[in-house]
Amino acid sequence: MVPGDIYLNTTPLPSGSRTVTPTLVEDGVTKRVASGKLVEEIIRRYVNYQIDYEYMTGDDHEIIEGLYNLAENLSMTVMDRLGAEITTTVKMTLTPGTRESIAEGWLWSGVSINLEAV
Amino acid sequence: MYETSTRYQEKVLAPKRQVLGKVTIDYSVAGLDGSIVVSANENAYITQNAQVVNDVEEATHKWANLDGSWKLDGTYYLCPDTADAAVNNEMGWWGKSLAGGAGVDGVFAEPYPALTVEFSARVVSALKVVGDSMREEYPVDFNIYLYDASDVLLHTEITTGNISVIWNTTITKVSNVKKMVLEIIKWSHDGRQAKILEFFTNMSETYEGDDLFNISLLEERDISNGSLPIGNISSNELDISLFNRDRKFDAGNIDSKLYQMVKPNRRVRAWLGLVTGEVRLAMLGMASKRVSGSVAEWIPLGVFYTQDWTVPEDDVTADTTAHDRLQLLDDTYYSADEFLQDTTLYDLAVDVLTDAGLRIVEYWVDEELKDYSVAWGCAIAKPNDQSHRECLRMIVEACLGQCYMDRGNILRIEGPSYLENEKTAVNATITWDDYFNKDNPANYTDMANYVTITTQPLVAADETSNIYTTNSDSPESIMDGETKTVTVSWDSIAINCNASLEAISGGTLPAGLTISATVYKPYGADITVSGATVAGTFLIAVTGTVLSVKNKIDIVTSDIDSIQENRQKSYEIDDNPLIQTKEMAQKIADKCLTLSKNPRRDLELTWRGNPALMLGDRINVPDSKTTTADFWVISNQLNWDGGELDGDTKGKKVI
Repeated sequence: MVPGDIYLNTTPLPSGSRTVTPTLVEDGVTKRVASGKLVEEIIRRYVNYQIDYEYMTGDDHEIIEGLYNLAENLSMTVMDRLGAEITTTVKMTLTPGTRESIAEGWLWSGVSINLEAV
Repeated sequence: MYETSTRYQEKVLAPKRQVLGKVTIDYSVAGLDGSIVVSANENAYITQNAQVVNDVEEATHKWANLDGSWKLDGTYYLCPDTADAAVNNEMGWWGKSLAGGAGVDGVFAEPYPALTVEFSARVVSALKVVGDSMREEYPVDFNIYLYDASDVLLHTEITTGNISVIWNTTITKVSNVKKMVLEIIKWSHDGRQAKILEFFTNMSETYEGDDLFNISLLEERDISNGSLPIGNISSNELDISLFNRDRKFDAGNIDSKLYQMVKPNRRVRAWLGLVTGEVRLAMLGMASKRVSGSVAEWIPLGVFYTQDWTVPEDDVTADTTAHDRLQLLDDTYYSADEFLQDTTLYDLAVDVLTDAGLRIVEYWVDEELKDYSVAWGCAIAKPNDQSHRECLRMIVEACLGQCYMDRGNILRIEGPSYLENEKTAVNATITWDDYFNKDNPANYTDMANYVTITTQPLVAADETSNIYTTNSDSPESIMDGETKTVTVSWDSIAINCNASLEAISGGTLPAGLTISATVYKPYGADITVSGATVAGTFLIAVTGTVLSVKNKIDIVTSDIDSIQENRQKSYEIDDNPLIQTKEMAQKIADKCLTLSKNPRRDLELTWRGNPALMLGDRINVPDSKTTTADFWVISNQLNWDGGELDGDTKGKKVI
């Protein structure tokens, strides 16, 4: 792996023409104390990812569909900028995009993968 | 307060915070696991074999030995040669033969020194051998053999060329190990004996994150139980709920690493951690993972020992309740080998704690207890029937003190003035922004304005009497030339004892038989006989002066003003054997009245909780809209449910 790589189970996600949008999520419980102020206990902090592909070949599209069709939670491993591998379990949802061409091994656009930490 | 960083103090009651939990369970701990037996094929004249499994890796001192290494430079100490001395002195197993006996530098002659540890069948996945760090000696070449219950060899670990005092390794999991043998072939120093401080790997697991659902801690310092909080001691209690991942806690899961390990008396250590650091929001970083590993400041909650486990098959949890070491002291008994005449409650407490096997570093006794004299300290004991915990209870009752385990697993005995003298500064301020609910109940049950203390003076009988005679139906027997020690006991404390030998009715004593040594104890004696030139039988008779409680006196102290205002609130102590003199009873009565004659408006606080707040800490809490009041923490409950922390704290008002 090199910094920036993303794996689902043992499969590397294609890196061409993709944008990765992490969303920081905090689960918390809020309560009011005697003064009336609101206080919050953070239960869990995690990151959800949305990975958007401008274009994707038919081969890569089938790999992504194959992961989705496993119909199970996946192990996502990412390598951050400093080279640390971080693994977590995610639930995958897929927007399969638009089939733009069937020439040259097919071409898809607008494919979007949502990975939600479980 | 537990010592914390400035960052912690800023964040622990901040409007937004994150608290994490962590629990470590030691499933196999020497001293609690009765199945662990240590033996060796050779022993030095002085050795402490049981210490090789006690989880202490450092020798207390550089122990002196006549192997040529002992220099009279003040750095060497004499070896601990008794069980009592070994309590505070770590030595481990010392072999007998000297390295080099095989004719090669450092190599022992066969049979090699070997140390064996046996235990109930378990999985072994790590091995550890610790040499003597103080003398910087260690095994160089050695073999470790693992056996099952039928003595079938399951695994052999061969090590050569070791250069570390502490050696450890992990191995592929070996199941059903019942015995492990360490065979030492070569030692680091020629002409020295084998010395092993540790040869056992406690089996531990740590649970945090998704593996830990719940931690609930209850710690108490003053327990009132509907009366004055005097003479009540309570074990702190920890409830934990764990994720039964892969059903590993199930009793019938023979594939589990924890098979046959999920039992009472497992050691539990727990922490709550506050996330204090800035989380680096690297683009691809999983913040939740980073948080749990690196930026939390952990506060220990203490050391506990499990009771029963609940592992329901229709749920994903494994739950247990654990109590601290005070609970264990309910199951061990004070031996009372000494009369402890003209002693103090301080010395008596130290004697009880030492008898219970606690090392000096494991307890703290308030010097104030030296102000309480006791004529006969042995009055606290009953033959084989007084638990160490009950002894401690009587000691703190006799000085109006408190006894509890602190977060550092130190058993603390504090005198009646400890809080007044030592906790004069506020440790923490709790504001309206920190609590949900507060109550200041008037504790009329915790007051007394008419105190009666009854003395229990031990008085010697006017005459000596026969206190023990061997039953003539079962006389003692002895062989020709044998030396035999007979332990006899009686029901009342007796002094000025004198043992003699008697012949059985119609017979004679074995020729030459005499009493060669006697050790008298409050409730018995060890009598050694020897010198018999022919085998035979004999009786032992012991005379002595019996001490019994006579001439009790009631010391009454009252406060008229308080009685007129609050009606009479009586309190009495009438059965504490340590209150033997009128002076001591008066002292206790006066102190009790001073502390309890006025009703207090104490504190019950439901708040966000701070794990660093400890028993006895002084807190400042709003009393009205414009004023505050100080309280000493006497009870603390922390509930953490996997993310959310809250606390219930009780305080005693500082007057």
